[in-house]
Order: sequence, then structure tokens, then C-alpha cells
Amino acid sequence: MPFGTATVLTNKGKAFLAERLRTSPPTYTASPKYIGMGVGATGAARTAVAADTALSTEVETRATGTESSVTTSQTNDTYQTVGTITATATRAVDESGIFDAATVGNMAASATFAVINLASADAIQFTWKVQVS
Amino acid sequence: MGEKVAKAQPRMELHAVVIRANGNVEDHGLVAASHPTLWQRLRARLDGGRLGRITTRQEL
Repeated sequence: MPFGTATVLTNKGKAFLAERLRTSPPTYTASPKYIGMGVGATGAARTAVAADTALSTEVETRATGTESSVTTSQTNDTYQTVGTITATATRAVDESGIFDAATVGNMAASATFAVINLASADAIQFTWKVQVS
Repeated sequence: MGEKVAKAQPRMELHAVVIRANGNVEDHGLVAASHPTLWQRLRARLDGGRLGRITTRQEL
């Protein structure tokens, strides 16, 4: 599949949402508030799909997002996590994901998008929204 | 017999704001969405400065 712009809930993300309704989720015990970014989607000709489990080429330290419930269509129907990642080198950012850990972990949602070029010390503030409609 | 499955249809959006080292802020707006509207697709192109020639509906 060629590179394209997309945002998807991954297969793990689907299990994530279902399991987090339980009183004691057995597997997905932490929220997917960690935001990662990568630079490999265009080169890998990858468009985000539900089967994604990792970014093509993740760079920089994941941001620990600030979580909230926001209203899109119904009161508090949207999970939001906002975090900022600073580049330590020149980066052509074209992918992002949300994870339940600062390293490795499970990727709940995956996105690929047109390249955003960063110089060293530039930063991106990502706002991820998952609306249950 | 009586099983009912309530299906949720999550919609994802990703917004990006670039903060340059010199303090300049560039709002790229909606950079990817799972169910983008026509307006959101166009807005994403405008916000990202990527409004090239659009020749087909699919490109929107």
C-alpha cells in the first residue's frame, strides 16, 4: 500500500477500548496517553492500518500526554491526550501513535500524514482524539 | 437468542502544532483523521500549506 494520510484505531486499540470497560482490565491496565512520533512512513510506503503495532521508524522520547475527556458530539464522548515532542536533530515527521507505555508498550492508534519538517530544537504538540460515536 | 451487540464506532483525529526553536508557532491543524469530512480534508491541506492542484475527488 502506498503512503497515505490516515488515522486508525489499531486492532489492539479495539481490544483496549473493550477491555477498559471492565472493572479490572486484565491486559490493558494503563491508558494510551504516551505519544510517539516517527519518520519512516513515507520511505516505507506505509499508510496507517488497524494491524499496525509500531511506527516504521520511531524517533525521540515519547511525550507523556495530558489526558482529558472532551465533548465532540455528546458530553465527554472523546478521549484526548496532548503532548509535545522536541526534535534533537533534523526530522521529517510523517507518523505518530499513542501507546500505553513510555517505551515499547501497545499501540492503540496509528496515524500517517504528510511530512512535517523539523529542525533540531523544534517541537510538535500533538493532540490525539478518539471519539466514541 | 437474546444477544445484542452494541457497536462503537471510534473516530480518530490527530492535530499538530509546530513550535519552532525561535518561538514561532505553526498550526498544522488536522493532519490525519479516520473519518475526515470534505471540509476537514481541504482544511488539512490549507493548514499544512499543501494545497496543490486537486484534480480528482479522491485527492480531496
